[in-house]
Amino acid sequence: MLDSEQLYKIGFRFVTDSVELMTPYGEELKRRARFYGRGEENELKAEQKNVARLVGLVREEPAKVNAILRLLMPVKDIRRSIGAIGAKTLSEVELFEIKRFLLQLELIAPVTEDVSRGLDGVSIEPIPGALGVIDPDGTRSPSFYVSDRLSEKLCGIRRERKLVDEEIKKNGASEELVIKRTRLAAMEEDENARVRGEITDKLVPYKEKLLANTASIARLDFALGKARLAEKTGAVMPKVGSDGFGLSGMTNPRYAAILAEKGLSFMPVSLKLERGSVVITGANMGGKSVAIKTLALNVMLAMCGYFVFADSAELPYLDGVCLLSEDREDAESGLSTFGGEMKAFDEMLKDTAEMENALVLLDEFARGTNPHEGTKLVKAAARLFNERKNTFAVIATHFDGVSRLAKIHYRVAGLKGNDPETLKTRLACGADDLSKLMDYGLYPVPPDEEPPRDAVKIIKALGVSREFTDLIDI
Amino acid sequence: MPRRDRRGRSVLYELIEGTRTLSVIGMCKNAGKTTVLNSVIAECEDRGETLGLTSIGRDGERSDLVTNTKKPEIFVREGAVIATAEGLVPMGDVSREILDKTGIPTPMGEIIIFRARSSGFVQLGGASTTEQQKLLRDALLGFGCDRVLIDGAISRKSLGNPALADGVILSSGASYDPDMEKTAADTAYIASLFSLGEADVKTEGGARFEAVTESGTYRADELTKLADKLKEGAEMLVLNGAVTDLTAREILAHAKLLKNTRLIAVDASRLLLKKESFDKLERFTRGFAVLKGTRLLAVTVNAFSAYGMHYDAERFIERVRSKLNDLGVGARVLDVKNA
Repeated sequence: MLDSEQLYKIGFRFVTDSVELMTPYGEELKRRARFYGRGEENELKAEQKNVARLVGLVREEPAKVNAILRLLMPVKDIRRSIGAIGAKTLSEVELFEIKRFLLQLELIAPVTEDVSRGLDGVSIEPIPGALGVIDPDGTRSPSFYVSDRLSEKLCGIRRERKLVDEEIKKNGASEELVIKRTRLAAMEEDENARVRGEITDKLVPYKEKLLANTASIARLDFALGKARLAEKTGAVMPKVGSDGFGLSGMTNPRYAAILAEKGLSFMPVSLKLERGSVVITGANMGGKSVAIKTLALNVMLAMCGYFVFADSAELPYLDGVCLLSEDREDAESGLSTFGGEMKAFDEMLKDTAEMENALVLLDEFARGTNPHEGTKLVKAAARLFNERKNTFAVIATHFDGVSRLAKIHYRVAGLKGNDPETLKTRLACGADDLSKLMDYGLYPVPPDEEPPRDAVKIIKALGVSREFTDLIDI
Repeated sequence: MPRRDRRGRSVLYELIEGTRTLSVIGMCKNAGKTTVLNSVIAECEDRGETLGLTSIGRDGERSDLVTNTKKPEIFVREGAVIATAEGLVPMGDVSREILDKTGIPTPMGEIIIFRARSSGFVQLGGASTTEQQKLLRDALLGFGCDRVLIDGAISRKSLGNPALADGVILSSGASYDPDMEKTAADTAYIASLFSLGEADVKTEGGARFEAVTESGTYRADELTKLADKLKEGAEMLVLNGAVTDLTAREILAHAKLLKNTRLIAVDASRLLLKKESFDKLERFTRGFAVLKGTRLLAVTVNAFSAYGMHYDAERFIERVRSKLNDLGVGARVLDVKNA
């Protein structure tokens, strides 16, 4: 599975960061990023359906959505206070939090009632019984005070205390009165605690309902956040459960934003995958890596119940997604880059061996060793995944000869079609960035087509001294 | 008993009457600050005012607050609204109606807001950043308080953030130092900082120094980088952030260029330099002003020392008045016993 560093690099965090949530409950679901794996197909379907319905709501009833968001916004995380019910006597502040939550439920429930009916796992219900316990006077005020009504003794102490205070105010604080006051304050504190104990006991039967409501709010908030993002960005619902991968017009918001800063636009990526090895070749300029990350991003989003950034997307249920990318770091383990990569690869093979469906992404595998051996290693990996019937592997490489083993071979166009003289002119005319001259599109090509030879073309286009370029033996 | 004028009105109340947010700041522990606060509370409550109370957060005082503090001494009546750390609530004995849990963290727990449903003692512990203090003040006013009182304290780090308050009472006393002259002089110095005039200048911040010259405003984090601009003759030099003895040394290195320059601090709470440094800067420049001024309403003095070295009360008042006079500070001086 992807670690948090990888989730950041593929742009998953970038996407989830732009999901706006109203409650700490929703935030927590987002943070946990649940991957719906094997055996959770129905849950994933249900979550997708929730998001789809809410996309409809966002589109058709924006006023209603705003009303829901406004009601969710003040909701605080009070699970600690709920958790304390049955375990100890709740403090005044804890009871205040629970009362505030109960009052919020009274407001949220009627507004979300019809929406919730069409959603899986969302049922926000007021708990009048619990509110009656905590607010026996029915004031419904958003504050908490241990009511006189709950204890005659408490009421008596408070009355007496008031008389003493008045006397002190009138005649000054004699020692006798001060002692009396202090004693009454302590008595009140004790009785207050006893009454709070009673209130807590009476809340025990409602504990599960309180927790269920927080779960419902989490679910609604998170799905609504996903839906609002999908509506804003035009993300689509992926079809999960097909035999293979068919993803067309994928984009990656993180890289699109990086490119936009340079005045460039993101070239959408389309890919079909079969079981076995799919190979992406192309110039050594980052296009392959972005393609792999874009694939990883959208697959992860789909498996976490998000809509995806693509024109259309279908993919099988997956047990896991693994990525071995060129920018991984092994500084902490102390292994060399190459050693670290091989160890990670070995772990990946073990992890995915028993899976029914795994997606394995190798970005410039074995680049850390010499091209001769590197080619052999990548070829071996391609063969291995061709043998395994459970793995969809995508191998991006600039080594020669690997593509011959590919079930499908894609090429990042790169500088193809631009001769050095034209490139040189364009660079001289202010195309300061080579990337502006790159075609990052992925094109299916025959397995035996070798990677392009762009390195020399690029060197010449950059106008590197001829003393050097004339000596390049091609 | 509070001192009354000939028509029987309270001197203290008259001083604070127009102040919506009042900060009482003690020069040290046992300066009589709590006595002043309690007098103000009683005066206001006698007039039917609803009071909001909070304090400036005390960083790093966690353990002695919990373990060594005597019972809390601030006494409120029914109806007062208190913003304090949740962990300090049990130290008071007032009946509480919880109004809000603010989400502002302190070492003593989150700050909560409650309404006193009886008379009683409360222990105050508040927020430490200006932003949070503003939030609390606004919350207290939002709960219907007519006036907000802030229990302030001078620490090594700050002068109790008067930026938030529109009036300040400074409390000083014999517990500050056995030497009455020193106490009077230091009190007058702090009082003079709270009395600095406001400068009429727009600043953008973003750098430690901003030089305002005829040709424009120039910013830099090191004063050396502004030397050329200072040579032109800067009208003002704005000092963003804390002004310490080190800052003073940095400024004095360019003293020759600053003869006609006025030094502008953000507010009195940022002036954390010793009197000697302050005096030197005043001498070599056109003196200090602040962007946001404070109204010093009064200085209270307490001749009683918690450590046994009591002063002569009459003489103490006279010395503080005289020192204030030397520095041109016109604030009232009140004996805490009469406050």
